[in-house]
Amino acid sequence: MESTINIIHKRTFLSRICYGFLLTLLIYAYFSHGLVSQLQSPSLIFSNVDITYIFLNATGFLDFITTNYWVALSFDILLFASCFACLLKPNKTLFSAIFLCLYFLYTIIFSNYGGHHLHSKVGTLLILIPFLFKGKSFAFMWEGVRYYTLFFMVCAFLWKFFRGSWITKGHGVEVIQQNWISILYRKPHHLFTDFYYYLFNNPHIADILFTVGSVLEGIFIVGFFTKKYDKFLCFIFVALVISFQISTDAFMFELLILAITFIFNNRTSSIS
Amino acid sequence: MLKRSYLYRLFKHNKILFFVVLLFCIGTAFTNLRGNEITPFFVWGMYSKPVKPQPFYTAHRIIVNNNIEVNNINGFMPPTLFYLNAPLKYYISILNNHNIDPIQTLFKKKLGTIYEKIAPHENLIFNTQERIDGFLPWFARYISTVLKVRVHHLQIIEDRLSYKNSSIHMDSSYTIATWNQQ
Repeated sequence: MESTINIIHKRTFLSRICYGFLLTLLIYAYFSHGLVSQLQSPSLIFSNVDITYIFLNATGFLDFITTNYWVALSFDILLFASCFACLLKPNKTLFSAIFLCLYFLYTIIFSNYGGHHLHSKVGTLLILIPFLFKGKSFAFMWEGVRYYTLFFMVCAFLWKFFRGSWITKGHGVEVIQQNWISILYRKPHHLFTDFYYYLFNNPHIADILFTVGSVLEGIFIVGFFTKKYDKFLCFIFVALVISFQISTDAFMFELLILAITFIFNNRTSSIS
Repeated sequence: MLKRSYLYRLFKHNKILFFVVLLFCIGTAFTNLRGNEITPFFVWGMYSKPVKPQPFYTAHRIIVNNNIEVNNINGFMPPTLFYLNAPLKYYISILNNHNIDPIQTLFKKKLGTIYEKIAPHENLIFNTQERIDGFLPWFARYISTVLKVRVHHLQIIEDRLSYKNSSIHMDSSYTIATWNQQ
């Protein structure tokens, strides 16, 4: 019972960490011209084949928010205000629900008008879900987010495994070249220039690194059976997010918040 | 073993929550098996598709007011860089698809005759000519905010780069689009 009580009692502390992280990201978005009111009424939409995006575009709701400056500004102010409210009043689940809805919409808007559906913001969306609940339900949802984190890492491995990219000769170096060649061309004295050129000239090394990365993703399956190695998984998770940045120039740091579920991982098994 | 499982314990704790989580699990499994994402049932298959060696790689530069070059090494923060790159890439994919939204083309191809049912709504869910024409003026507005300069001219250049003999070469370079303030 003790471990359950621990995680429930940590709810306020965890909410401060998570909403603090989210608020930092929103401030960061402001300074990088990424808030809705800063997008300057974007023109192109990108639903892809995602029904949720198609539905929201069809209703005209996303255009209504983005093409009216005052609506967009009000949306941004509400986003900040609800995040502040969650920080100040972590036990008010109504604030958590409002912020989750707004942040979900923000994520959709950012991807829809950005021409690419980002997965990096999924972590920040998921970590907010447990705070819609209190007591034992919070503990269960927190544990659920930990399982989802394990799931998507294993899923990433399975996709690579079944598609055969991990055994495709030259796949690793090709991924790196696609993402880095233009940067290296324009900035020949990049911090990692020598490293990338080494990989370009030794593609088998890049392939090995890609395979090692894929296997490390697969290792997360262990977390479904035991929490004994969670600290190790947390370390691997952080290392992989950094390696995504180095290998593909993909900014996935928003996912890092999910690592907290490996640190505060009390089991709910004693709840009956 | 089953009684110790997360879902069983959740079922015992709160049946509504259990069914919500179960629905999420089923939805996520379904979209991952099909490979088509339906938010919030995300598909995690990034960089899993085997890629063959490319003869060249494309990179884009934007020349603002004939004297400022905007590219991916200007030191912009990742969200800014994302908005300078990704919509432009999508715009170019539309241009390369004869000014038709590639997603619309994909829908027509995949749905066949069923497409007729969504055809009346195509102006709402795909990029219309009006949206496509509005891209460059929007791009100028966004760049103007980022650079804090008044933008009256834009030139978008595509460079084709390749890696040969241990060095990166520019094989060709050409202008894709230009925009002048009316």
